[in-house]
Amino acid sequence: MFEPVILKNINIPDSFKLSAYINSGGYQALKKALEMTPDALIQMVKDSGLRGRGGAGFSTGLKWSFIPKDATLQKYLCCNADEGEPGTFKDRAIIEYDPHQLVEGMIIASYAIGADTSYIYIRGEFAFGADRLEAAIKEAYQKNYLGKNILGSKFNHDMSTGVQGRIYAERRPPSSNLLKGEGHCPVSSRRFLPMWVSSENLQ
Amino acid sequence: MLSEAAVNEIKDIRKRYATARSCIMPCLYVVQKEYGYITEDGMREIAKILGVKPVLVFEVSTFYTMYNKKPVGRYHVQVCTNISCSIMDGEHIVDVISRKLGVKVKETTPDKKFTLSTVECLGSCGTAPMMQINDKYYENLNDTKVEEILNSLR
Repeated sequence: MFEPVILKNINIPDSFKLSAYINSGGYQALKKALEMTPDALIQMVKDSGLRGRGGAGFSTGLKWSFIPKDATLQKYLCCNADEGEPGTFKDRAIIEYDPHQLVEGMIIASYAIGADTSYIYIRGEFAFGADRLEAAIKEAYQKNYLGKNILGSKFNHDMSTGVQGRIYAERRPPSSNLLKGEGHCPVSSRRFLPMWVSSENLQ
Repeated sequence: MLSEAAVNEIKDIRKRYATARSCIMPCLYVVQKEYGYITEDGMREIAKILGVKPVLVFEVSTFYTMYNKKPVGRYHVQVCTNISCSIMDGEHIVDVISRKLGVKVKETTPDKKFTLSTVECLGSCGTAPMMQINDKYYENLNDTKVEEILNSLR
């Protein structure tokens, strides 16, 4: 038998609420991260062996390290919650039952790469999950895990969701939409995407 | 005409987005909530409030399946027939519902209560077969369960 790691809290009563998340050690990692420098944080994530869940299992720390360090550049973090490939159902449980885990992870990643704004791109059919995420983001703002000077640090961060819909045959669809500054992607307005989307200029 | 509340909601949504085109999708949901489906007038109203050409609103609404371009019943029953659900006999679930409601796929019952549709993967493969009624998921379906769910909505 395997031991649940990411989904270990989803059966706790009210697991989606901030109180339950805090009780299981939530937002402690954020506190710890904010006391580190972004570089040290990225190194730590690299050393931990943490990998992406998208299928390629790419090193998370390495991915974060690709973001240019230039502090004058505007950076965004985009979370793809458009899960819908047939047979794929690894993200919905997190979104619906442990949304703060996603929110906290995104704040930490944003701190590491120096992004002051992040978007969660969720598919239109996940209305229930979108509500849960929006409620979690609201709670996080109330406790200053989001907003200005997070937990007394100099780090500011804003997060929001965009409820979208499926997009066919698009490579990295969420970012392509952000790149165009649009919340959708009709076939007629596709654009060519760069190989390394992590450093594409959004302007 | 959209209600004042709906117009205000669209104006509020607009404030959260950098460009007018970006906020068309959430605005379409406002119209769908208001009229039960996406009307042409509703799309023109969105365009007017946002100050964009109506075609920009039309092209978005016709691209996505979750915007109803025709009136649907009070309960929109959407059964997944994608691969995982099909393996678990989702097509049979469609038949059961179709027989029970007396409508074919894409049809609405005469009392305008139920519309039956099939959908692509809703990310519920671990609990297939499944259906979504309005915003709610119903999972691990079988004949008895479907019967009970539909009866509870009658």
